[in-house]
Amino acid sequence: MNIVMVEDEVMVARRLTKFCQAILGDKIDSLKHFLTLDDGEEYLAEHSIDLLLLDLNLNGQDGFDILKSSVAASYQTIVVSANIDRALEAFEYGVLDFVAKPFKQERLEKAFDRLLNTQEHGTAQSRYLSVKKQGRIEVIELQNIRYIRAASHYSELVLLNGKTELHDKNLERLLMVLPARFERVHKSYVVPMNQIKTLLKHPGSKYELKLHNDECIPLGRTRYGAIREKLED
Amino acid sequence: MYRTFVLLCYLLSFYSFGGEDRGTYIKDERYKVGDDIRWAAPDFTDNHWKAVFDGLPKEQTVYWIRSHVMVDAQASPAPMGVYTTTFGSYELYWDGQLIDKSGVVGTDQTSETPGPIVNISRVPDDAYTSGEHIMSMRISSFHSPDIAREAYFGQFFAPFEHLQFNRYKKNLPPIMILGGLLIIALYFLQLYWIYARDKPFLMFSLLCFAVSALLMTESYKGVFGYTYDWHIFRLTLVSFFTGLVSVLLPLFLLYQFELPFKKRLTLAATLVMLAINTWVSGYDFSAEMMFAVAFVWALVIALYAWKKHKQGAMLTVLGLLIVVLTKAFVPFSFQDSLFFPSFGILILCVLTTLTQRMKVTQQERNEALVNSAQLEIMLLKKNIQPHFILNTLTSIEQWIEEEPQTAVKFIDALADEFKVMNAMADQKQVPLAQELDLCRSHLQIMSYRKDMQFELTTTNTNPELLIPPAIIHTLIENALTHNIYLQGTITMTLTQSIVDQGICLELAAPLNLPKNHESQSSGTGLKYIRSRLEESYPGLWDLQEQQTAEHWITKLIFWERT
Repeated sequence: MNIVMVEDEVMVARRLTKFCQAILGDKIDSLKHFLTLDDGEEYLAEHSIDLLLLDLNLNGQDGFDILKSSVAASYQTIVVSANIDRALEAFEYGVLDFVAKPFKQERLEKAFDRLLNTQEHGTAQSRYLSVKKQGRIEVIELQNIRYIRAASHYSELVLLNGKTELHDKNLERLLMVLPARFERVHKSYVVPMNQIKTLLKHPGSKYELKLHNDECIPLGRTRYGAIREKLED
Repeated sequence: MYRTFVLLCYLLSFYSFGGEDRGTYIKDERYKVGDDIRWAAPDFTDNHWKAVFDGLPKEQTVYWIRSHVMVDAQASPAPMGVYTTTFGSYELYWDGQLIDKSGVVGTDQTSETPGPIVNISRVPDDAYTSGEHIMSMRISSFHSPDIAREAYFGQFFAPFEHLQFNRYKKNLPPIMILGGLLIIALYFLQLYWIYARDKPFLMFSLLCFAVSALLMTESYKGVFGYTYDWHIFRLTLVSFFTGLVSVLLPLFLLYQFELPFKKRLTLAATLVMLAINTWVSGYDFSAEMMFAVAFVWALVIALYAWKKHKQGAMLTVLGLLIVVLTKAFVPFSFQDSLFFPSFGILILCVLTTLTQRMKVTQQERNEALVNSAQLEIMLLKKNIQPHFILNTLTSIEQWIEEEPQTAVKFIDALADEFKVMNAMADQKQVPLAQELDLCRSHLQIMSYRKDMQFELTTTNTNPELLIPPAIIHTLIENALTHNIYLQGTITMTLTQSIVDQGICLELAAPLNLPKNHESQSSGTGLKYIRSRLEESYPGLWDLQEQQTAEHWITKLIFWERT
């Protein structure tokens, strides 16, 4: 696993490093420390990483701008901050976790668990997704998403208005920061349950989901049972 | 404004001029020095006596006055009274019959008992018949003053009840105003004493006391009366209080409108009043002169204040104009009771402006209090803001595990900063030495947090210099927030110097701004410093920031009020 840590408090960075090593051990392929996100920019542009541990002074004017651009990236973001009163907002923007200072090793371990245990999702409280668009960050409300389609290493967000937006995260990583109503219905599709109109069964064990706009998307054979159960609830 | 006007009309409506009865009148008042009871007789021939009109005896003596009274009992029915004011005790005869005594007539100072300055005698109803009557008076003037002895005589007929009633009617409004004024005077004295040491309050209280004293001495004659030998004393008091009011009225306005040269102008006014009192003869005339000068002068001050847009100046001009115009268009003497109601209106106008002033003062005070409270909260928040305290605690945790001894020192530094901050919290100014303690404990904390060395050196600083709390501390915090200090020793320097006769504190912090850095100034920190400087040196401070190749420099300059 490749981790980048952005923390301007030297002693806190030491503590984070120590905990990371204790929890992840040899799962760590690299662990880089930067004082600010700007300092780490170059490195992040050239390296593909899995996790960003981000210290943010969210009370500052640009704290949330940094956050928005960081959650738009392909990697997951765990915020480690003293501004506990802004945690809820951070979750809404789609951070994987928010660890309040001062923190214990157990708390950090729990945060890493969410990253490693990909099956476990549905606790996320996000309301928005940030996407990078021509160098700018655009914020999309989750309720405007019709479904999400895999597009090689990226994800394609299909919006209610018909437009599509590209997100840097792949489907697996995106699912981790999406609320429970976003279901993986196919290896390449994620749909919010409230967008599904009916379930179509075609001959030859082929399944499809009909959405409210009568658009049909494939439903994986392995997912059929679970989705039907949820639709019947 | 409108309410003031309505009240003004109401006060004026108390006034009406009662016409004198002309059915009974006196002619041929003549006197003769000497004493003979036969001079009371109706048939005595007095045409060789001297006319009272030409002047009474110049010396203290016993003399008689005889007058011929024409009575029309139909036009002016009984009971009829005689109003007499003179410097003497007397016996009053009606057609040879003794009808009244004022004091005891004597042949020298010891045998004479002075009578009241004003006496009202009733003519017996059965003796009051149409036709000519002889009224004679036996007078002794051994207690009379040398001034105006020969001129001070007044006598007239009027219905008896009217005379009795009139003395109260005439004095009622001044007495009412006197009561009100005394309460206002006491109230404003208390305001000055207990509420705010605001000079206009004191001046207004003194002015009201002086006007009350003048009213009291003016109406004492009619309301209480006194023996004629006290008359000059009362007139002297009236002159004194007239002069006092004439000096205090403009002085109060000078304070009220915060105009310069108060002492010099008041000294000049006092000299003018003394000159008038010395060289202008006649009590009434000199009093009128004093008031005329005082009111015109007051009007000039109020108009000037109006031009300068001073609060309440317009209302004061209005009040003064009412007094001056009433005087100009309604011919009354300043000593007349009409003067006091118009003066009462002026007081009312001034009272309104004073109340407005109190409102403004109270608002300013409240704002200052709120402002101080906010600044105190801002200061206290420095130590409990999450970014500071939680990062500090996280660092301490790490030190505890790495080096427990350092952790203990770290906690000590944190405790020191808390102690100093707490001691400063409710102060508006603290000695520089204390501020430096605060800064150094903060730098110590930051040294442990960043595991490097922060230092503060000082040049020329006076440890006793009083400055608002935590302003250097805030500058240091800003430097630490905006610069990225990585390792080694970082030394900040505080230098005290004199700039334009003001004190300059200059903090130089090594420059190491992060990439993509946009602006150096930190909103809330500088706002705190600005508010603190304004609190301690209103309008007399300056904050300058400049960037050199190696340092970020902030200068705080402030001037002591001279």
